Amino acid sequence: MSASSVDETFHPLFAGNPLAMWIYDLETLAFLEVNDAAVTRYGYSREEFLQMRLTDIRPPEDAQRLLEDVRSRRPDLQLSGQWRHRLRDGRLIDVEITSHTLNFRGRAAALVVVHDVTDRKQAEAALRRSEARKAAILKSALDCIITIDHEGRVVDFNPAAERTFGYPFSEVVGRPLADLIIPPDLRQAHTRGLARYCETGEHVVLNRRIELRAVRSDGSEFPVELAITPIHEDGKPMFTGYLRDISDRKRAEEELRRLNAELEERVRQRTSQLEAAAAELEAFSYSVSHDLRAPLRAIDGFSLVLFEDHSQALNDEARTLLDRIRAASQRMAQLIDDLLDLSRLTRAEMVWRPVDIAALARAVATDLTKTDPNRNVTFRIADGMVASGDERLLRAALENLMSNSWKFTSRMAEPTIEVGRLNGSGVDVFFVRDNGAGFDMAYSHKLFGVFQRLHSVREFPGTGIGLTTVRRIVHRHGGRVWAEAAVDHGATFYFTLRPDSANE
Amino acid sequence: MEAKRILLVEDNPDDEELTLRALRNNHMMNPVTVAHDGVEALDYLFATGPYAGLDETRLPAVTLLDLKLPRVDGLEVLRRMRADQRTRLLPVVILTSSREEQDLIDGYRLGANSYIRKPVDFAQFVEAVRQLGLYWLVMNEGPPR
Repeated sequence: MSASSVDETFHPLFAGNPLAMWIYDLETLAFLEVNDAAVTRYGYSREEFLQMRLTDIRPPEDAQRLLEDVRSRRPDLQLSGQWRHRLRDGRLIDVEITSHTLNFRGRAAALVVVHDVTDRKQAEAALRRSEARKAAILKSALDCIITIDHEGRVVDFNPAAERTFGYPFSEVVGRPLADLIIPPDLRQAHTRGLARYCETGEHVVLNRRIELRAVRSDGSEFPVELAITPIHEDGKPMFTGYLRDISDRKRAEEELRRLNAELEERVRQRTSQLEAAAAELEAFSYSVSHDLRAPLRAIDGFSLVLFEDHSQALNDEARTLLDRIRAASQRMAQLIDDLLDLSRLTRAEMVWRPVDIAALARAVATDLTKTDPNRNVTFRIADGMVASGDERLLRAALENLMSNSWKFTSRMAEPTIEVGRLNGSGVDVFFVRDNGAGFDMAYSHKLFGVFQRLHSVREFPGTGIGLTTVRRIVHRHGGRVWAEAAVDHGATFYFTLRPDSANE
Repeated sequence: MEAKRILLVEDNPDDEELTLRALRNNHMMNPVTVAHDGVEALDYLFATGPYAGLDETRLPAVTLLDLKLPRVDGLEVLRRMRADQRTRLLPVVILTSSREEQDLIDGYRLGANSYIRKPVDFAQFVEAVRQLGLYWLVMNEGPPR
C-alpha cells in the first residue's frame, strides 16, 4: 500500500476521528500531524502542535518517564499506559495512550490515540475518597454500625460494634445477625420483618429511632437505641443499623424516675404534714377564740356580780380591785381578738386585683371620723393611687396605719393625716403620714414586733398588734414597710406592695 | 297560756349562770330550760329520753344555742331541728364565743335566725341578753303552733 493510498483511504479516519490522535517523530519527538479532536481537546492549533514536541504537553516531572518509554524497545502496537497531559490552558488531563509505530513521510513515527480518562479517574478518586471517609467514619464512630444483606448476614461490623458486642469482625462477617446480637425472643420477629420487607417493602422499624434489647457475645442482654436504614444495591436490599448502648442512659432515667418518685413522695408527706399543721392551727385558733374567752367572761361577769350584789360587803379598795380585774379581763379579750385577726390575715387566701388605694383610704377616713365626730382631723388623700393586691388585706393595713395616726394625733392642735405615693422610678412607695406624737427612731426596730408598744397604754390605748398586722399584710404582697418619725413631730409609714426590682 | 319558754343550750356552768343572771337582771321571768349538751337539747325538743311524754307546750319560743357542745355540737342540733317538722320554724339564736367566719356561714346556712357573739364584758352581755329577750320574746311573733 502506497503512502498516498493510505492517506486517501485512512485520512478521514484520522482527521475525523472523535478520539484525539497524532503522529510524532520517534527520533525527535516532534508532532508530525494532529487531528481535529486533538486540536479541540488540547486547545493548541494545528500549527502550534506542529511546532511542539511530545515533551511539551507533559508536566515537567513526567518528562523522564516519557523519554525512557520512548527509548525502550517497543512493539508495533502498544498500550503505553496512563499519562498526564497538559492542555494549552495549563490544566492537566488523565489519558490512556495507545500507539502504533509507522513510517510517516519517510520518518520513523508513531500514531497515538488518546483516550481521555479524566472523568473516570476523578470518579474513581471520588469513590476512593468516599470509601476512605466511610471507612474512617465506620472506624471512629462511637455508635455501632452494622450492615447486613437481604438474608440478614453481617457485611459491616465496625470497631464500636466489636467493642460493644464482644465479637471481632472476622468472626461475624457472613454470619446471620440474628444468631449473634439479637436476643432469642426477638429473633423470629427480626427474621419475619426482614422477609416481609424483602417481599413487600412493608416495614415498621426502618428509618426511625427504636429501643430494643440486644445481646453480647457473653450472653448478657442490654438496652440499645437503634435506627435502621435500607440500602438498595443491585436490587437486593441491604440494611445498615446504627446502634447505641443506652444502658447508662436507662440507668440514669431509672434513677431520675426513682428520685422524682421519691421527691413526689416527700412533697406529698410534707404537704400532708403542712395540712395537718394548718388544721391544727385552725383548731388552735378556734379553741383560742372560743375556750379562752369563756373564763374571761366568767371573771368579768362574776366580778360584776360581786360588785353589784355584794357592794355593801366591799370597801372602796375592793371595788377598785374588782374594776382592775374587769379591765384586765377585757384587755385580754381584746388581745385574743387581735391575735385571731392576725392569724386570720395569715391564713386567708389572697385575691389579687387592681385596688384603688385612694378610695380605700377615703373610706377608712370616713369610718374614723364617725368614731369621734367631735375631732377635727384634716385628711389629705392623693388621687388615683392604684395597686395590685388583696383589697380586704390592704384595707386592714390602711385601717391599722390610719387609726394609729388618728390615735397619735389626738393631742395635736391641727391634726393632719396624709395618704400618698412617692414620685419616683421603680416600685411604687405608698405612705401614711401624720403630725402626731411620733416616736424615737432609736426604737424603730421594735415597731413591728407582736405586742411591742412605744407608748404606754395610759398615754395611748392599744394592744401592739396593729403594726405587726400591717407588716404581715405588706410581706404577703411581697413588699416591705418602714417608718420615719421624730418625737412630737409626727410619723410617716412607708410601704411597697411588690418586691423591689433587682437593680435597686 | 304558759309564758314563752327559753331553751338555753350551754355546757359551760359559768356561762349558764351568767346567762341566767343576765335574764334575771333584765327581769325576764320566762321559764328557762337548760340543756347541757346537744343530746339533751334534742331529747328535750323531740320529747325523747328523759323528756319522753312531754307535750308540745314545752317547745321554746326561742332557743339560745351554743356551738361548741359535748357529744352533739350546736350546728348538728340546728341541722336536726331544721330537718324536723315540729321544730323547723322555731327561732334559734346562736349564742357563742366564736366569731370564726365559717361558724357564722354554717350557722346561717343551716337556718339560724340570729347570731350573737357573747361579749367578755358582762355589762355588755347583760345588754345583749336584754335586747335579745325583748326582741324574741316580746316583739317577735313566733310561728303559729
